[in-house]
Amino acid sequence: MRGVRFDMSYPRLAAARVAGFFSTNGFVASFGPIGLREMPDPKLIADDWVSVTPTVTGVCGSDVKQIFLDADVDNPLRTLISFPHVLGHEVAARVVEVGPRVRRVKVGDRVAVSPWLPCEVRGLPPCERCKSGDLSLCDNFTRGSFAPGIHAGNCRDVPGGYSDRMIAHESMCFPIPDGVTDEEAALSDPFSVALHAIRKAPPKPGETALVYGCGPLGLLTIHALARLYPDVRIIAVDLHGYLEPFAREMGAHDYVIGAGAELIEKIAGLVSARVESVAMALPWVTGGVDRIYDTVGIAETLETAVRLIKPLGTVLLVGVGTPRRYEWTPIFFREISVIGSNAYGIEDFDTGRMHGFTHYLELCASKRLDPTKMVTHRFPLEAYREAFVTARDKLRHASVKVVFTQSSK
Amino acid sequence: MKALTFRIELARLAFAKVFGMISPRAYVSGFGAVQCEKVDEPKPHGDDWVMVKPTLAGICGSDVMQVFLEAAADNPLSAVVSAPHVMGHEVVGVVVDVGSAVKKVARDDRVAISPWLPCAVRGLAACEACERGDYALCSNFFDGKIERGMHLGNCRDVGGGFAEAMSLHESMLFPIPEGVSFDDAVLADPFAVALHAVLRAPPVKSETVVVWGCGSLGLMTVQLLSVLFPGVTILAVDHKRRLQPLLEKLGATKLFTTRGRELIAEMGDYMKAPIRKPFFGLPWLQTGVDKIYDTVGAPSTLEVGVRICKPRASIVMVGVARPRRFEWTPLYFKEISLLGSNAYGMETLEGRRAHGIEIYLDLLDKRRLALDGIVTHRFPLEKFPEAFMAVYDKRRSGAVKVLFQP
Repeated sequence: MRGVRFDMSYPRLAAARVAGFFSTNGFVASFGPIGLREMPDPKLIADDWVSVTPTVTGVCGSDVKQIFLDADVDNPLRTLISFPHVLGHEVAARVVEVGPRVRRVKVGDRVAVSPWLPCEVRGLPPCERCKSGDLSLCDNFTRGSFAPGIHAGNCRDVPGGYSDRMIAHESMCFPIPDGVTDEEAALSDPFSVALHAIRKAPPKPGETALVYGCGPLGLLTIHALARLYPDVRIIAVDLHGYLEPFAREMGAHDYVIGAGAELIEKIAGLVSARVESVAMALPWVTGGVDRIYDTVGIAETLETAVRLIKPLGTVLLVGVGTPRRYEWTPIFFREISVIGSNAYGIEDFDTGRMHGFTHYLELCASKRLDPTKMVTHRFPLEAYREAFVTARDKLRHASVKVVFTQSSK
Repeated sequence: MKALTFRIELARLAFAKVFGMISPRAYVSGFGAVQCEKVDEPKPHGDDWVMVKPTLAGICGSDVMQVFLEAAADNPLSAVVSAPHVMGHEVVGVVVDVGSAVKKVARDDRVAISPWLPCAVRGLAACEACERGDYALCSNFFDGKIERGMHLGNCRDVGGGFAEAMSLHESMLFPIPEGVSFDDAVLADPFAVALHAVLRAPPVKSETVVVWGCGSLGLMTVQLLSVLFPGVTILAVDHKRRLQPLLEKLGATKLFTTRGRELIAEMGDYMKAPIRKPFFGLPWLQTGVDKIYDTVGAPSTLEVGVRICKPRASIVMVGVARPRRFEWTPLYFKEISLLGSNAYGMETLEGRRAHGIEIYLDLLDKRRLALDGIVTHRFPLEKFPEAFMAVYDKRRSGAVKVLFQP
């Protein structure tokens, strides 16, 4: 089979860094760590595994960061992953082979694949975290029957969806209901991330929620808030104007372009908060918004967020930017809660207690959600370079969600 | 009267910064921003104001940051300060005169002082935060009949306790019960800060918590955890080995004196938590402690903090160090809650709702706290250079809490 593989080789990394200095395309050059490679089909790891062919696979922001070498060297998550690996973890697929003990799906089924690799997938008895349904907080990402990895797409033994063939434990497979397209199903992962973050600090009726960043995660957060949390005023924030129609389509009430002091003043105007100016530094507001879902998670957005939130308010850190210094005094002074949110698991919602994917697919089937308008670019696997550059140079390509559409071979 | 004043004058700040690079004593020299000088007696701002003669006033870590000009230039709290001002916000004293409308205290009462200057002090109707009793979150620190300032020691119109006299609104005063000494009562402010921080994320029985930093705030945190939350394992972290006996007395289970990589390894051993070692950067623990009360709040303590706590743990950030970059990935990956905690107000403890300072005085009155050994130094106002240097260089002075006796 073919797969877009990331090879952790220092010469390749160095070459890509140098070439990337001259052009974005340099990062995806043939001498770099990323390439579409020919490799043997993966074998089922146990009797309860299945083999699938990806049909639609979304390009996630974290893949883009990895491919364009955006991580800091002291990022501790490196201890939980293994190389080389085939990328891609937002997958809709067709089942082509099932192990003898598989019950949940059968050959020919359309499935959304949850990429996480917790205890059950690793053939281990569930840890405390898995028992409580917190699959992304599992204790055992480095143990069990195959190589370390938190999810398909960063594990040597479980290739991701940028490929012709994947394997998955049956617990990772969620049948796609009739009436829900593969493209819709491929958004199960980012939607579940958004829903999980909102569930950690859900807005109450009458509150104002600010969604920072209008990439796919931000847009899905807006969509979930608009469709599932009535009576919440949603303010969408981004640096770029081209995302406004998408944010409005997903349900944002206000769209604000800007950063720093200018943004603080604009938002303060929207929510009638008083701006307190500070000599030589960013202003802050008295009053402010009730909740902030920061889907960017970089120093600049956090610095602004802690100045816009009400005292005792909550900032959800959903994005995973590289850490930098920011002025954080308001966290203590205004008793803000900054809460990290990682992926998803079994979620409580008014539709019941189910896996995030099940919630999403049911909400799509009942037409309570309809997020596919955010898919702007579709590429075949061979055009992976173009796909990644399109996802990276968002402004130039006016891209939002970029996906691979794969023919089943 | 005599008072320690802080002046925001460019020449003084520049002098202190330049010569401070040579010796920290420059910050407390005759040309620094802080001076001991004669100023006018303070005046009441209404007939519900009270004249108090301070007997003891503690030096807070934030005073030291101010005197040694350690705040970052982009700190937004500079907007909530007016100068020049008389410093000192951890104060006890005696009432010497009362306005005609004062009900709460009488002449000769011994009082502990809440330094905060919210709506009630400013002659304003209570804002939403004040109505809830969250006085430190008041939205009117800029308004009302007194100058901007969040508490004593940073407001031009209401001088602090490093002085021979103070004029205060009656709501700021809490009578000290008869059996309670000034020496104990003067720790009311740091105790109330510690209590509020712990109540932001109170430990559940049999949990393991870390108290980071063992200045007076950390020591108070240890003591109140051991008295009010029995069954909790209290791990103190501070590089000062000499604090071991005091910490034992206050109720700490164990003192860790290392930092960074070593501290993470020691915590991993202690908690029997598997340790993950990346090629670059600090190792991290897969699981770990349940709560962290970080009275330092520095990038280094936060970076290690997010690595030694378990998934979904809470880190209460009560310290106020200067921001810098730290590697924060575990914050999201372990879904940690970083909770800011600012001062105190009305608190709920053991089913009773009362002001943090009242709770402290009541605990002292009932002999539930044992705080011997926290106060280490006392100075008259004129000796302010020695006093601030003692706090600045704790390693040499052996200081924990340093007091002025005005």
